[in-house]
Amino acid sequence: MALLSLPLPWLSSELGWIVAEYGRQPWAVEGVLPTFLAVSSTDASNVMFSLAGFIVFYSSLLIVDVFLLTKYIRLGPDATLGRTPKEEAA
Amino acid sequence: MFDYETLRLIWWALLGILLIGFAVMDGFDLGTAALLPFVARTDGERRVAINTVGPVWEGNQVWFILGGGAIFAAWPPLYAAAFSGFYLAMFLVLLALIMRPVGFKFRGKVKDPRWRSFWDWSLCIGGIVPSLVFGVAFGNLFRGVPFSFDADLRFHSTITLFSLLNPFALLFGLVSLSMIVLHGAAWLNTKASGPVAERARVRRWSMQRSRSRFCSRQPASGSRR
Repeated sequence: MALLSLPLPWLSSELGWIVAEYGRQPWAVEGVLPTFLAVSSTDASNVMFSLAGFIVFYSSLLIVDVFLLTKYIRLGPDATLGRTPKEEAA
Repeated sequence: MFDYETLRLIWWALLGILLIGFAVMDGFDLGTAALLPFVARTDGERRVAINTVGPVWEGNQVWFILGGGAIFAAWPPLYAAAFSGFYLAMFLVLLALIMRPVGFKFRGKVKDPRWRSFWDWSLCIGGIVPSLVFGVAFGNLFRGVPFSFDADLRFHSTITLFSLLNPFALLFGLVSLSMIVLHGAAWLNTKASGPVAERARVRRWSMQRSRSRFCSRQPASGSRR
């Protein structure tokens, strides 16, 4: 049960964000800046490109990270972890 | 207390200090990373080169973040123009800068030489790309970039990544890269010892030559050590 409720704080914060975003329409800043004026003029294709780039980039880093995590978990506590770089270079 | 014009002047000075701080402080670790595969051949030598910047590179990078924060707070139109107009260039810089912490931290985690050389080269790219792009950005600022604000203060521009890569700006990029590499080589020459420092000295000398060839018509007067 405790394990299953791990994603709940994340879920509730996301839902709260969605409520806030819908609730402030049609204003970006209430009474000052309407949403249509707050939209960036940056080309959508650029944003798609950078978003795709970051997704690919961070996913590959995640794979490498999980690989390293499992490697060091398997090695256990007396592995190379915690040695100073000097010892490693020698 | 201060009028708007005085505040603007103060913020320009602060922004200048932040950018100079970034160039001086982060310049040498970008340069060191860019030189890494060239000045250090063996694994131990590379470790020596990385350890010269190991404790400081992260703090140095904060100058850049602070620069971005400063223009967001003090110059919102400049922030909008810089981050929207140079969107893909910023993306490139970010990707390259993200390679740096990962390279520094992941490199030593696996003994396989292919793994290490992969991260060494990503550190090298992470040093070269920002140095080049910052120079290109400044080149474009000197040349002028096509943007405007409409009546609603919305930012519009016809800038593309390829229009930024014009010959004039690319020359700026090369000058910036050579200055940062020179900076890194001088740092390595001071901080490291043995073959790394020796190779760094040679690189530093050649960078000094090529930089003075770029920047002035006078021939380089030997290595000014």
